[in-house]
Amino acid sequence: MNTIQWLSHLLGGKERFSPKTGYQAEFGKNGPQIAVTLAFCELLTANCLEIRTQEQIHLPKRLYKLRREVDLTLLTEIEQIVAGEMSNFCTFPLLREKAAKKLRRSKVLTQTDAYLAEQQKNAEHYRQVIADALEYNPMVSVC
Amino acid sequence: MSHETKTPSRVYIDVTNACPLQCLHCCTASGERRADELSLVEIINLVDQVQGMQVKNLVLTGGEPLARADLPAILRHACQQGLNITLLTNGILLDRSWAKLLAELGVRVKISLDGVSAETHNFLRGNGAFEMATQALERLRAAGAENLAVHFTVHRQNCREIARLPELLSELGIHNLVVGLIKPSGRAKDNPALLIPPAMAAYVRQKIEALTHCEQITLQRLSDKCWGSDTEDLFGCPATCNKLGVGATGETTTCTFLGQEFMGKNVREYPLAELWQQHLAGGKCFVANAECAECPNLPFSGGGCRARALYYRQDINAPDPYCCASFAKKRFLDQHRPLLEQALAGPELAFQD
Repeated sequence: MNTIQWLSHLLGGKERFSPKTGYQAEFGKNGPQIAVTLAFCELLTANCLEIRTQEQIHLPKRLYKLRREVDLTLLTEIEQIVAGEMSNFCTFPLLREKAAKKLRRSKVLTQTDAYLAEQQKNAEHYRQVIADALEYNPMVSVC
Repeated sequence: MSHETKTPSRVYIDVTNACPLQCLHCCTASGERRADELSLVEIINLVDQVQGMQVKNLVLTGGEPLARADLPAILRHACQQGLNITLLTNGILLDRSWAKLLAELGVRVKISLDGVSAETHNFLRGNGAFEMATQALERLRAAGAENLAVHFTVHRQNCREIARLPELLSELGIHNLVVGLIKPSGRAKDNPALLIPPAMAAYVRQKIEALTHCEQITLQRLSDKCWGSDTEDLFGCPATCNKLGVGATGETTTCTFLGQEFMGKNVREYPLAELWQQHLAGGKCFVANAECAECPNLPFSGGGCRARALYYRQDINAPDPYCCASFAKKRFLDQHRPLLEQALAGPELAFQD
């Protein structure tokens, strides 16, 4: 199974051939939400987001915003879409809804985004991202 | 173990400054052969000194080491001395006869591939470089060379390709991967658009670390430890303590990335062991400035990379901004640990509020 097939399988979609861009993956029903959640977790755990907490009657409400110093050109295409929805503080559900809509409108996942498939063993790769963050050791590092 | 009894973990020898490429990020700005490069006799003598210092690991680099016609004699001699040899090459000149020799001698070969496609690799190195590098890896495999690795230097233009490296390595049949970040040194300083902004260092490192979950490759990390005051088990910049480099014309350095300005005395004038002892006697080449000394993480981090401190802060003793970014990430994660623990159980719920 190639990366595109694997990716579309993970995100509940199907592989499609476009004469312009070759084989690409389409999102399935929950694909955009999964992809947005993963991108959000990547950005959060890489210290790219600010978190503001608003006290409410029952639970604190968390708002997220992209840090000003983040260089968008380094982000993957999906992360760029997600980051683009966080120029102001917003809640995760709102972010997910807006970014997923934008992602779905983009219709397909490109070859560049096949990174999702390469790294994840299942569609819950974001748990791995978070687990890594909880184990983060700044001393084990690349030069 | 005191500093005086330490030997460098490895010695680098730039066997030439000559290189057929003019890579945009070359940390030594290699290209032309220098008129006064070390002769074969001098390098053979140097290899003997390395062996005499009980150093186990010898790294031959350049320039492009294969541009040196008498390299086989150097390799054979180093092998006879029982040294573990690593050859850093761009692979451009690596034909079948080189592949056969390197395989026979059991040399560890690291070939630079700075892109998963010809487009990104050749952008830095010139047309045809990707094809020649991948062909070199094929030739080495065909010759039976076992100790092969791809070295990927992350810069601003290829950062988004990190996650696709396992795919490339699988295609090439290579398991070992070394990933390093571009250093503000040599020609890279003339191309600052290639450098990773310090604010993105933690993000990029996270993408690299994610590769450890990939079963088909082995991500090789730095094994160097900094010499700490209380414990040996600290990460730090090895340049400050346990590696030694010899330039193509014989000057010594503890870190090539610091550039010509920081080159030390010449092996033509002093024995290598004496230069090493002088380096040790000179104390730390890094003394944290007031700002860096204030950091509670300094004892653990060893201060990070001095070349980056020099470039970004114009002070070799200043904080390395990448090191600061790593610890800022750690502080952020610690601050939000309850949220992350909740998210581990169910990201959907944790972020819903």
